[in-house]
Amino acid sequence: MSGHAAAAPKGFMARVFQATALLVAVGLTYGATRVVDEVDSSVAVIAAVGLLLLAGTLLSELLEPIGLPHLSGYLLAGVVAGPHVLHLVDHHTVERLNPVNTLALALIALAGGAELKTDLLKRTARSLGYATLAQALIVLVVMTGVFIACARFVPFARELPFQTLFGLALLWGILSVSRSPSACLGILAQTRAKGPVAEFSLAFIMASDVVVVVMLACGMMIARPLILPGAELSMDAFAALGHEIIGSVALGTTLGLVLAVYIRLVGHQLLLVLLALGFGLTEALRYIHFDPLLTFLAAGFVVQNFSDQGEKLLTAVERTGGVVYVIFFATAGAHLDIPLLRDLWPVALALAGGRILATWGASKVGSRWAKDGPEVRKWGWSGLVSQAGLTLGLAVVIQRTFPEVGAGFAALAVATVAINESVGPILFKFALDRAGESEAVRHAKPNSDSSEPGSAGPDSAGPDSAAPESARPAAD
Amino acid sequence: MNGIWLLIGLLVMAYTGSMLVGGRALRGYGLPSGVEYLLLGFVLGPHVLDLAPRQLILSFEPLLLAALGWLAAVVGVDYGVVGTRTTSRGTVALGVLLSLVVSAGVFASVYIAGGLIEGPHQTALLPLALILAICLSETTRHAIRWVVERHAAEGPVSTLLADVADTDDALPLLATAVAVALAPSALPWGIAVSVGVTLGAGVLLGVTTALLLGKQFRRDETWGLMMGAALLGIGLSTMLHLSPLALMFSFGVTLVAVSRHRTELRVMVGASERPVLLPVLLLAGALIDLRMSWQIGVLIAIAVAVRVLMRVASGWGLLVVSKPARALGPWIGLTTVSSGALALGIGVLFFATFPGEIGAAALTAAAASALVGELIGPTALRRGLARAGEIRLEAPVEPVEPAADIGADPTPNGAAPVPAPSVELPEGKMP
Repeated sequence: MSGHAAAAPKGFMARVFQATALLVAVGLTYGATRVVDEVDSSVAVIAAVGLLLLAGTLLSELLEPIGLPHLSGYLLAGVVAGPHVLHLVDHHTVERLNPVNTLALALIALAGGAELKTDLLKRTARSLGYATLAQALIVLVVMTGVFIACARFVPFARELPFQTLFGLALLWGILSVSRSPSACLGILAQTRAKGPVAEFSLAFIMASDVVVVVMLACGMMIARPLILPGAELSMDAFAALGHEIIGSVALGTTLGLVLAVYIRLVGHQLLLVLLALGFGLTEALRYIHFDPLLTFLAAGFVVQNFSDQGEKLLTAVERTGGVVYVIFFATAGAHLDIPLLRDLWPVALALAGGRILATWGASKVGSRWAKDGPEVRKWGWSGLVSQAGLTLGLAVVIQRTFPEVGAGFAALAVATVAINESVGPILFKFALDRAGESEAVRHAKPNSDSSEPGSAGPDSAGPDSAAPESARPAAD
Repeated sequence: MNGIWLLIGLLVMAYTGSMLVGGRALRGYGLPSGVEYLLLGFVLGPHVLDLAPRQLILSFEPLLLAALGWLAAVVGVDYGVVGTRTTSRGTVALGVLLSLVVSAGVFASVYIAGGLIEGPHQTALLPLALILAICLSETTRHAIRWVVERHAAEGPVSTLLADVADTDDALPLLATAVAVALAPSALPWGIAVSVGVTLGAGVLLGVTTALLLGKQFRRDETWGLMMGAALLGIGLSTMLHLSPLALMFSFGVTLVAVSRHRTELRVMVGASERPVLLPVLLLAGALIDLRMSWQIGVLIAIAVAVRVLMRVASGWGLLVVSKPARALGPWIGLTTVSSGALALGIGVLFFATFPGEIGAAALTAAAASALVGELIGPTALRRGLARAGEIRLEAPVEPVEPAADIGADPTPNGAAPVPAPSVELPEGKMP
């Protein structure tokens, strides 16, 4: 997600240098890991961060000519360097990179909130309302059904009584409603897309975080007596949820105001301030059981809409995130459990495919209700396919609450997220290119033979039509 | 105190450091070598208040090594350039020669004295003498700059001393490759191969990064590539029990030698030095371990004392090559006694590499040398420059610099890069 997204076109020799550099980096690391028998894990973390950052950046550049988003390059770098392929970064090291994920999620939420301008929300309110309703209902119902239908192929669900199976299927349905704010922001930052599809996707995905959290609380309340024999319907979850949501928004508002004042009065070293907030405040928020994502989202929203410091904040987050996001997604790639995916791929594929279809159908219905424009009607679903950290986080919550079936459930979630995480960004970038909203396509339009809006194909987003160097550095 | 609070504390230190190079703050605040942050770390550490227990501090060792590696890269990128002026080859040779003389004196004295004093240290006398010699060989460029800037010194002697302090960093940084090859944890490659691999990897990464930067300078891409290459280099060298400082120094020197964006790189990377430096000094202070035998204590005292003497002796070399310097008289060497961040960084590397009191001795010696240097160096330098007629003692000047925000674009709006020199010295003939 670095600013190289908008770099000037790169020639053949540049690509050769990049490929050589990638080989050098991988070769050096491969040699070092083979020479030393036992490596101190804390030392390995430093090398892993360097390798993931370098390899992610280079691979994303190398994949650019074939139209793949940078996110895919970062993920692929992580997969290849990770424990299941070249084993340059082992499991333990990947786990130790969690603080980077914490920081990245804080920055993503902050940037997401700052991208949500009130005029954008007003403009898209009708679409958002109907889309939220359609996605929540249709995806929930369809995916609950798909899960039940696939149960005979799911090892841990095969023998379950229908009541328990229904409870699990309900939770799966809710999990399917969750999206990936990070992937959305990453693709938008890389493509610098502007237009109805980009606006709709951004606003919907950011707002859907809150919806999913509330849905999960409701779902857990209903599923508990179904899955756990003897458990009763309890409203305690709502009390905790109210505390979490209201507290997070309140704290986020305060943080936003403080940040706005800081940017206005001091303005220097936002990078260090963001680092301190990302690490320190996230830890404090977890301690008091507030939701960091919601808090930072609210903070970003307040800075953008209740002060005139929004652009400065966005620029600072983008500059900090440029490095952090590469590591975040590359780590996510290294996290992907390839052997698990190999075992569960048929059912994971069916569930991921069902979800894509349900999302597509729900998008059509929502767009029809909201009377959306043709672009949103056609491509509005594409940004909603990606799933990543938020979904996995929710799966872990379910795993902890229902330990008897939770492990298998979480494993299946990991396998499905792996597919959605790989396919989603590619789909979204493709859609933005086809809708003519990517900056590269917009710039290419005047010289294009086609004068039809949205007719620019993905090829036009190639290196020859990349954004000018003077463009604002991107977050991705 | 847990890890998160320590991390926040370090970020606050970094923030403070970054503000010290900001436009509104005066670089001349604080002590010239920054030794007060070292003392603060020592006070917070296990020996005094124990707010940061040893185990917690040790868990930050990899982070510390990464920071040190980055600082070595910064020194490499900025090597041979003072402000906007490139130092001559003669000055580089002079700086290296002076630090070689000092380190040779320290090495010989520790080796001889260590052989005379009975004790368990004798089993590792060679590495002990070597690491003390390396730690105590440099003059900190920060202290020289502090005095020069604070008093707006101008003239050939200020220029000479600033150049020597800048160029004498090469020897200790490169010599760490040799010393680390002697560590018990070193791979059985032999010294020559270890040094070759260290420097070769640094050069390879430097060339690769320079080629990747290409023709156009793209700030964000440069940060990503530089940080990736730097962390990879630091991580791999630490994995292979090589010196990250030597590797990163060669990386930095190679990068600016090959890349056409050397000016932008110097500005960009230079702005990150202070924010990294202060947390490093704080952690180094907290890492100091005074639990050592009296024999080692005596050897440290001898090493620090001999360093001062060797500095005085090496000063006579300055008198030979520079006519204006003769105005300072035979004690000119005292102006170069200050030591600081680099010595402490090397001390921390040895602390992490050599287990037990050998490693602890290196860090303690570097800290003691910084304290002694703080007492002698700046005062001697101020008086010396006054005697040479290059400053007026009664009127310290507050230099105003452009803000050096980390991550700030060195080429705003695509305009030609404007370096922010920390020392504005006139062009002058080098000795």
